[in-house]
Amino acid sequence: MTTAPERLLTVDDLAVSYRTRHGDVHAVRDVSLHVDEGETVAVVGESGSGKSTTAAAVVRLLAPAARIERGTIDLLGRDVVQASPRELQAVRGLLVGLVPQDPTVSLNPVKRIGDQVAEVLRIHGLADRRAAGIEAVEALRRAGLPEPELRARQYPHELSGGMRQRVLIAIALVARPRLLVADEPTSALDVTVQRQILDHLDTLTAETGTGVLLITHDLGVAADRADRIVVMSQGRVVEAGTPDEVLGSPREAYTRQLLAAAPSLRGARPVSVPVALDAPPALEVRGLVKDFPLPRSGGGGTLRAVDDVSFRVPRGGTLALVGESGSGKSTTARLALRLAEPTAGQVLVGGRDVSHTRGSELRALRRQMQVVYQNPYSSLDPRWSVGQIVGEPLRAFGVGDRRTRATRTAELLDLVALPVSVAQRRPAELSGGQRQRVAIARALSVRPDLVVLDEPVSALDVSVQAQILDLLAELQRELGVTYLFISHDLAVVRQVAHDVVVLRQGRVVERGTVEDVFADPQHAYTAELLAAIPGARRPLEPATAGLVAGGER
Amino acid sequence: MSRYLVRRLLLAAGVLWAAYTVTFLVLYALPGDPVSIMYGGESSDVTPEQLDALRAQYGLDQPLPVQYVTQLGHALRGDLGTSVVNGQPVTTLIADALPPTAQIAGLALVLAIVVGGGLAVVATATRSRRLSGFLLSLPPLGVAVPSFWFGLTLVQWFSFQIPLFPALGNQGFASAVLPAVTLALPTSALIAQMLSRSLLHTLREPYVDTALAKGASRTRVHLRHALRNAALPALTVTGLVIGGLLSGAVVTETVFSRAGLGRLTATSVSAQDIPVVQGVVLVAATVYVLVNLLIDIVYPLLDPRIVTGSRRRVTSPPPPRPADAAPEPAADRVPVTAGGTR
Amino acid sequence: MSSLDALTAGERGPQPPTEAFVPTALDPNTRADKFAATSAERFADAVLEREDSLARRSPWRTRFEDLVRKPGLVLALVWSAVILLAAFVPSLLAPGDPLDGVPADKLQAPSSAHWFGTDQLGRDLYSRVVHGTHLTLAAALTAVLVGLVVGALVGLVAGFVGGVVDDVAMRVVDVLLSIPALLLSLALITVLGFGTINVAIAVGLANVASVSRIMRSEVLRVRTSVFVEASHASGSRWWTTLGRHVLPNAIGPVVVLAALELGAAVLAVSSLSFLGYGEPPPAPEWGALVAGGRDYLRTSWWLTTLPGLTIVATVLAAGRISRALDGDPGRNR
Repeated sequence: MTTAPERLLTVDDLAVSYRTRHGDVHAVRDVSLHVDEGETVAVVGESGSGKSTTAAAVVRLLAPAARIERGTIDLLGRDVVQASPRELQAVRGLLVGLVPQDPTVSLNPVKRIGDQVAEVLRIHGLADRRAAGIEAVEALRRAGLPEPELRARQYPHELSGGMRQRVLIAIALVARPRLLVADEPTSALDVTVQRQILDHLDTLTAETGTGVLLITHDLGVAADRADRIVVMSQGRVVEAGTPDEVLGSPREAYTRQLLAAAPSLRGARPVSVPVALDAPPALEVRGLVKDFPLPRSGGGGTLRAVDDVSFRVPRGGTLALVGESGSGKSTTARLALRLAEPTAGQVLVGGRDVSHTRGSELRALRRQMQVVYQNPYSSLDPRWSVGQIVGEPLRAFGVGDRRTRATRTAELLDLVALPVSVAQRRPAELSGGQRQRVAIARALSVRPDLVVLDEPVSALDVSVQAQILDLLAELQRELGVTYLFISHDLAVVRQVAHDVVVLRQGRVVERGTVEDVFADPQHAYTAELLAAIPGARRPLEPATAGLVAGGER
Repeated sequence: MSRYLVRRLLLAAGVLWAAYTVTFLVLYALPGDPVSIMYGGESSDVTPEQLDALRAQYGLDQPLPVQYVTQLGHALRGDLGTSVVNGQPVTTLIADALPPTAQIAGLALVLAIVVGGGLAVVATATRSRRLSGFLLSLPPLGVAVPSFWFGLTLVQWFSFQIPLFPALGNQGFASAVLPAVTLALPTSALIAQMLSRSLLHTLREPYVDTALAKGASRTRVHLRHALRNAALPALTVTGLVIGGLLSGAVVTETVFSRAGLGRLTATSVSAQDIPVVQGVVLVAATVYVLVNLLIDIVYPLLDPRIVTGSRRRVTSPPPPRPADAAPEPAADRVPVTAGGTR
Repeated sequence: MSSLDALTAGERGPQPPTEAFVPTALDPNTRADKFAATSAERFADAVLEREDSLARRSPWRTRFEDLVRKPGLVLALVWSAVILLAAFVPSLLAPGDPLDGVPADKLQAPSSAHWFGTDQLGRDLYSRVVHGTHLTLAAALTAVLVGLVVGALVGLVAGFVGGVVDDVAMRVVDVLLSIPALLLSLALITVLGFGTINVAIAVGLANVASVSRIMRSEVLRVRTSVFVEASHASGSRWWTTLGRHVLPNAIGPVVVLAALELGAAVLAVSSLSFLGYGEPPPAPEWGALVAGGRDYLRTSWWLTTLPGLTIVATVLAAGRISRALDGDPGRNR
């Protein structure tokens, strides 16, 4: 036994390019990294940084248009770059396992779970049909799946996203590979599930000394999990080192920028806006209920998406509605905006009951309430120019003549820090962050009292996220506009909101000021959500391998 | 499952009834007088009195709703009326014409599945961009070729230039080959187009990467993972494909002067023999409905995501994803306020 | 789910909104949207997006470059131009008389004097094909117009009004689809009688069902898109939204469909004229020309082959142009 851990993976001077119509695009350049036995190496970067391309290159599952131009990938002495398809087949699954990004689409929908796990063993001739089946169940159990015998007989659609990710982990680990490549393994999952999955992955790999190459966009996740962090940007490695080195004393400007932007590592909102407590709330909902009929083919019945939800949004303040998927937060926002009619309960805007307002009155109401949607790629009509988009509410309400509308549009673009020249462009010519600025400008054009922000930053990269959040805070200071902020991300909420309402399965489980809720959560669920924020545990416990684990397997 | 079956059967019967109604409306209720269409024409020597007598004989002097109910009643008892050309019962005519058409249609279907399916699989599996590009350019060509012309071209080559098969007639298997190939062309092009599009789409699915990451070979991934998923959407158009074979038979049997359902249709349309045309359309609709019924029954066996019974409805996709938050508390916390009982 | 349902899956009226405003874009589950794609794809997206914007900056230059890269499309466009010319000014392409034959010159093979050869009455086949273009194309265009106007209207109303109207309309469409299109055309012809116009109407009506289904799903897609709701939420009146957002975005696929349907209609119309339901004999409809050559198959190949190839080329051109209008899916490069 040697004391030095074995080197599992060495990537040296790797360059990958994509063939496109306008010539080659270099996705990865001069990337070098290595993973030792029992070590977790996190590759962190924003979209387009080349991190996933690097991961795909390690298992040689690159897109057809991609080409490895240069460099070597050495996996336990085997040259992955030069390997023949047959040699690659022998390596994949057996020496290196892959945990893909989105568990909801990464399992074959028409095959049983057990067969999909057993397939790895069958392919590599590690077990006969019967033995493979038994071992598959065992692998599912180890991956933390309850009732593995039952799950093995089920099909993917019968399992939740978190369970499916555990299945994928079982597939990746069933043949006991030496290295695991995990490509954004939890970014499609809710935070609480994310935490459980990552914890479990830690435990499993620590037991067996499996090395992990963890790809993530979340600096917080990397901080929590990695022994070493590799920061990538625009295809290059910007910085590499232990979490303490990289996060504690970053050498490169880009890393510092990324750190400053990461919501989980950022502090609370710097300045609280003094809120006039005596003024009537901009929006109040009382006992809101929304039922949806279930499809008749499913046996009828109704689904209660929102169940007795009440809250008030003070004028000039920000109330955050927080919850995981299925919590009813977006439906609540729809009801507040009166894009849907509540089954029961009241919506009051500026003290007036508008629960069942219709027709022209409802349209007039829209002037007081505007909305910014999650995905700026789909919420802007691709055929319209930015100027038209921003001016649409002005036109709709017949504000001013064409000239004043044009002037106002220019002002609005300036307000959201976009050059006036973008007014002539189409949404497709703008980046995601720019598009979201356009959407914000549109929402503010008719000077509404209230803006509903439905996950306004969750489709954006972290650095852009931070800019948009700062912009929103600044606009609130300047214009005194009220926000109803819908989010799944508590780290983001901490930065923008004054008050928080936590929803779970359509019900309010906790409410209070940001300070109170974050410092002293009353409900167990809130505490769980808070604990799940990646990056939160870093100052407390540095990620150490070899957690407590049972069994010798 | 049996509930599902009963529902499907009732639905099929409903579609059939509606199809009957549509053909009735087209053939009897559109402006125009069926009797003068059938017996009249400009050069007709039938007197108005004779026409009236004929109307009475066929019950066409009755108001439209009465005609409809009477005819529907007859149809339900298996009586589709008689041909106005030769007075034979429509059911007999169709029964005689069905077997030869079924022969070439069946042969064509097998051919189309083998050729079209094979083309799609090879085109998507090959690493050669050239081969795949060439193969994928064939289906649009196959769809663009008029089958009457293709049939004639086949005759030109394989009956006249190289006398392998008879140019026309119904004698034996050899005479069925060229008609079957003619019929199979558009069908195989359709199958190839559908399946290759579906395969290309499926091969981009992340679960294909998962399978490759297990160490599976490309062939294994293609045949065991992609093909089955890709074939499912293609299966749903089988009804259309078979309907297409029936209408293709009209042209094909005319080209090859073969007796059969298609030829019967063509001559009946030429003679404006309304009861026979109606009968043929009904047969086509029945075939379509039966095929779809069969697919409805088979589909849930092939695709586990389709739930047939009403029991496991929690797993059906629409409302929120079952148990995403935490795996520990089991899946049955979906806030369902059950409305109706099962 | 029945197979018919499967066909229409995803366009079956308003699904019960679960959590999100509109399924794809706003459901927080899909916040992974951007992360779900592999980074390779994402990177490619970014690149393509940049290309898109480049394309927008210099539309003409890029269009031209695109054309040069697609010889098939160039060919299709040239052929369409020739066909249009033949339809509107046939004498420009073929000054001869399509009906006037020289009996002494009967059944001559193609030569420089008679490009397509001559038929059994000594008529110049090339002139007949050129002059027949008008008949066939007019019938096909009429058929597309009938099918598209009626079908699009049904689909638009069904998709936009929804509810019972939608249910009824789609059940009727289901039933119509159970009858093969050609048989439905034949039934209509039986009643309407023979002739180019009747054939055109019959082919058009037989297509109403499929067109209305496509139009409906297109309207639903656009109607439920986030930018339409955003327009609604920002206070626009519904007809403004319909006119300025829904229609402009839904019309594209209909144009694509029209081009595709034109090819299909040329096929259907010539099939029916081959069967003898078009204009009576001397009229040189393409299908009838092929039918006329049937009796001379053994000796005079050009009588069937050349009109047939004309049909093939025309249908192919329509299909190619339709694909180009659709942004060349499938040939993604």
